[in-house]
Amino acid sequence: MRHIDTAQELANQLGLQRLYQLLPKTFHAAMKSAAELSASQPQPRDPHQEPAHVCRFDKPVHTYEKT
Amino acid sequence: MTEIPYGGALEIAAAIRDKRLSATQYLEYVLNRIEQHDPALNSVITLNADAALTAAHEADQAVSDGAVLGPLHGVPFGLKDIIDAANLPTTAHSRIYANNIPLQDAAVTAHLKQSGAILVAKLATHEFAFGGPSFDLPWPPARNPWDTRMFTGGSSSGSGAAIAAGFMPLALGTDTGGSVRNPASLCGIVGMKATYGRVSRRGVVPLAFSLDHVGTMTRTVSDNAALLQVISGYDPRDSASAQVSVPDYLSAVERGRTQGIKGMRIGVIRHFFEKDMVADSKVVNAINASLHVLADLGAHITDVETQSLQTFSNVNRIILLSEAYAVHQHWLQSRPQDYAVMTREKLLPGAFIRAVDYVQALRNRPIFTAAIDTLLDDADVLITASSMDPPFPIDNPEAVARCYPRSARPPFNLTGHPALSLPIGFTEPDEDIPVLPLGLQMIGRHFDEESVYRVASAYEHATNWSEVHPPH
Repeated sequence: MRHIDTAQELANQLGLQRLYQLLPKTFHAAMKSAAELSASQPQPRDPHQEPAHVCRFDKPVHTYEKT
Repeated sequence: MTEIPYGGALEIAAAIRDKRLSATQYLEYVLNRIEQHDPALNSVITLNADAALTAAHEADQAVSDGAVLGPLHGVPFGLKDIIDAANLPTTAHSRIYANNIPLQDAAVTAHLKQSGAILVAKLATHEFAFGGPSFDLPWPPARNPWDTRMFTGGSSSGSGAAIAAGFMPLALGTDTGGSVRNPASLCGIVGMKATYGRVSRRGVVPLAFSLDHVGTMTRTVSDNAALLQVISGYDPRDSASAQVSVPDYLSAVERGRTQGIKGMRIGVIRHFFEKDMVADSKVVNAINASLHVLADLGAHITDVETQSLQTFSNVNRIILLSEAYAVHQHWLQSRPQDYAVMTREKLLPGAFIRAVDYVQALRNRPIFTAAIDTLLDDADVLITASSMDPPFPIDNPEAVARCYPRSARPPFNLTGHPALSLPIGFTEPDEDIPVLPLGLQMIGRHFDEESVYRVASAYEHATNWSEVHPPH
């Protein structure tokens, strides 16, 4: 099956071979649902429409120190 | 005082302060109640009994010594088990984190301890606040106290169950797509997700950085306001924390009770639950009945319209899946077998969302936020559904899969507006199914949790839903 080959190839590229072995059918369904979800959103075309930002530089961005 | 299991946090704190009740006596009652009833509910992951008893003795000593007491002195609280408490496991309800023991409190945990509250338990969640309910993890999923065959909602499932069951008056959950408001709605309690940036996320296991909120879960609006008061405020060590002053939430609750809401403007996003997604008639009828109560209290109620619910929810989902995958990629690559099947399945689509689609979602975000802001130009608060359906059996996978998309909660994670789930009544008993709780959702302007609490308080005062409790 071509789509399984594609999914397996993608799994290899993403380092998800073990997950693919556990869930081959889910893997293909996940690819499909991600593509459908992405296609469903509006596509802003105004080049000046900026993304929402969390990261600002007027205060320090801390790295979480696990102690 | 209200019967002990359902006593409010503020009542209990006052009774302890006035020496009508000792913190130790109350905590022993709470521990006995958990021991007796939690085996049927599975709400507790880690019981903090010994440390809590020590803290309760110290709290009683402080009262005897005439020490300065915090506002929640001696009151037990619970934490969803993705929120750190020093020297206790934070398991995230996952094998991956089974041995994770932080040495520091999360910011919110520290705030609660400083207020005098006592941590009694770490509470069940869905795995990493995303999977679930899963039956293939070391801890079973929490069950709904109104009927233990029913789903609690999630992912703050243990917090919802424990509060509804009267195990404690205060609990924290987290909310990335509705995970405080969903269990609040299905367990018949009050759940608030304040404005993004209002409450520090430091020390909380992330699901999706830009959507994650810590939320407050209680049986009453006043307890909810008291809890949010304690955990709110700027945290320079949380990059999303907002440097905005925190108002007096309890005053807003009091205004709702005493001055009412005459003249306040309420916009109803009716198309979310009547057209975009058709809610169960029991939910719609209960929302309409609530709007009548609010109108009788003098509020001006108007239907308002915005983009479709699905468009909001899909943009939220693209951001959530992308950010969650970034958090989990290395474990999905190296330890996929350690996740519950449901969690793996839910995380996996994040691997296939393209960078351009994530950025487009982030570009959509201010547009959608402005759309809600526009509605709030002409309304003090908005009302819409929380869950589209009443509670349903936890062991019905189709119903569980159906419930997550059938909600109107994700839009307000996307836009960051404060949103509260409020109990508004019950279903009629049906054959062998007892009454089950129903809720609605109330939304305010950014950093205006006060208006939400005021309207919620007025409604609560005019009804008696918060005085009805599950069996046992």
